[in-house]
Amino acid sequence: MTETLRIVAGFFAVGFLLMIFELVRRRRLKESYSLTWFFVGGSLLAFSLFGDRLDSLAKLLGFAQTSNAILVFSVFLILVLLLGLSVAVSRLSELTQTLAQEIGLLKHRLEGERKKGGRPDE
Amino acid sequence: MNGERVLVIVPAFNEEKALPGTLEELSRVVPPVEVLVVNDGSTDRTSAVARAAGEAVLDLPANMGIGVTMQAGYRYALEYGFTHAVQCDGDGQHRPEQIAILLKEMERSGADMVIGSRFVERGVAGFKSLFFRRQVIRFLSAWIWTLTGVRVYDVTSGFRLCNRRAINIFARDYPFDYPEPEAIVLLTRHGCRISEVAVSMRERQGGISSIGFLSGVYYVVKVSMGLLITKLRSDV
Repeated sequence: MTETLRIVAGFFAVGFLLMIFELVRRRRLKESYSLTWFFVGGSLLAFSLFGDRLDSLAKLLGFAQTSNAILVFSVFLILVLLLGLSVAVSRLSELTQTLAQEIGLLKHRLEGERKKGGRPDE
Repeated sequence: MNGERVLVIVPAFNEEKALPGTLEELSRVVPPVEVLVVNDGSTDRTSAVARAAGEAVLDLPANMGIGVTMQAGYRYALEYGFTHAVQCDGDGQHRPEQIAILLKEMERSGADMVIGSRFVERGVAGFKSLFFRRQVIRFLSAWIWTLTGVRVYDVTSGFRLCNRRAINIFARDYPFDYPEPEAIVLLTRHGCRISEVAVSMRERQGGISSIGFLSGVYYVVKVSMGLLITKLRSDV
C-alpha cells in the first residue's frame, strides 16, 4: 500500500470510529451493538496503520496483493455482521408478535371489565 | 359432552363481507360453541362486524399474519379454559355445520388434533382444487410422512380441531409463515396423535388465493425446509 492510500484509509477509519461514538452518545445505537462496530472501525484503523506488516502474511496465504487479503477479510466480516443483524431482527419480530398478541388479549379483557361496569371509563 | 367447552377461532383479515354469514352459521352450530374472532389488523370493518354479531373479538394492533393470529386464539383458549379449539376461516371456505364431524372424529379416534380434509375420501369433497396446488399438497404430504411416519393427506387444510393438549402446545409455540403443515410436524414431535376426517369445503366467498407459479415454488421450498427444521428441533 502506498503512503497516500494509508493516510486516506486512516482518516476514514478515524471518522468511522467517531461516527459510532457519536451514535452511541446520542443513544441512536445501543452499546451492545456498538461493540462489534468499534471492532470493525478498529480493524480498519489497524490495517491502515500497519498494512505493510501484513504483506508477508498475505503472500503466505497466496494473495498477489495485500489489499486483496484485506478485501476478502472485510467481506467475510461483513457477512458475519449481516447474519448477526438477521438474528437480531428475528428476535425482534418474535418479540413483536408476542406483544401484539398480548395487546389483543389485554384489550379484550379491558373491554369486558368496562362492560361489567366495574370502573368508569378512563 | 360433559364439561366440554369448544372455542371456534375465526382468523379474519379484511373479511367484512364474508364474516357475517360465517358467524350466523356458527351461531346455529350443534353442539353450541363459543366464537372468537381474531382480527388481524384489518383495515375494513371486520372488527365492528364481529362485535355487531355479539362475538368476542381480539384486535391485533397490526397485520401480523395467520400464524400469529391463530396463536393469539390458542392463547385465548388456554387462558379462558376451553377444552377444545376449532380453526374456522372467516372467508366462508369452511362449513361451520361440519364442526360436529370433527368433534365426533376426535371422540372416536382419541387424537389430539383432527384435520378436516378434502382428500380422505373421493367423492365427498365438493371443492376442486387446482391441479398444481394438488400436486404441491401431495408432495408436502409425502414429505411429512417421510419425516414423521404420520400420513396426513390434506396437510394445508386450516379446518382443524385441537384438544387441550394441542392447545397448550400451540399457545407456547406456533409456526409463523405458512403454519398448517408445520403445525402437524410440531405436534408429532410432542408425541401427539393426529387424525383426519373427510369434509367438504366451499370456494372462497370473497378474495382470491393469489398463489402464482413463482410464489408457489417459494412456498414449497420454504415449507419443506420449515418442516425439516421443525422436525430437527430439540426444544420440546
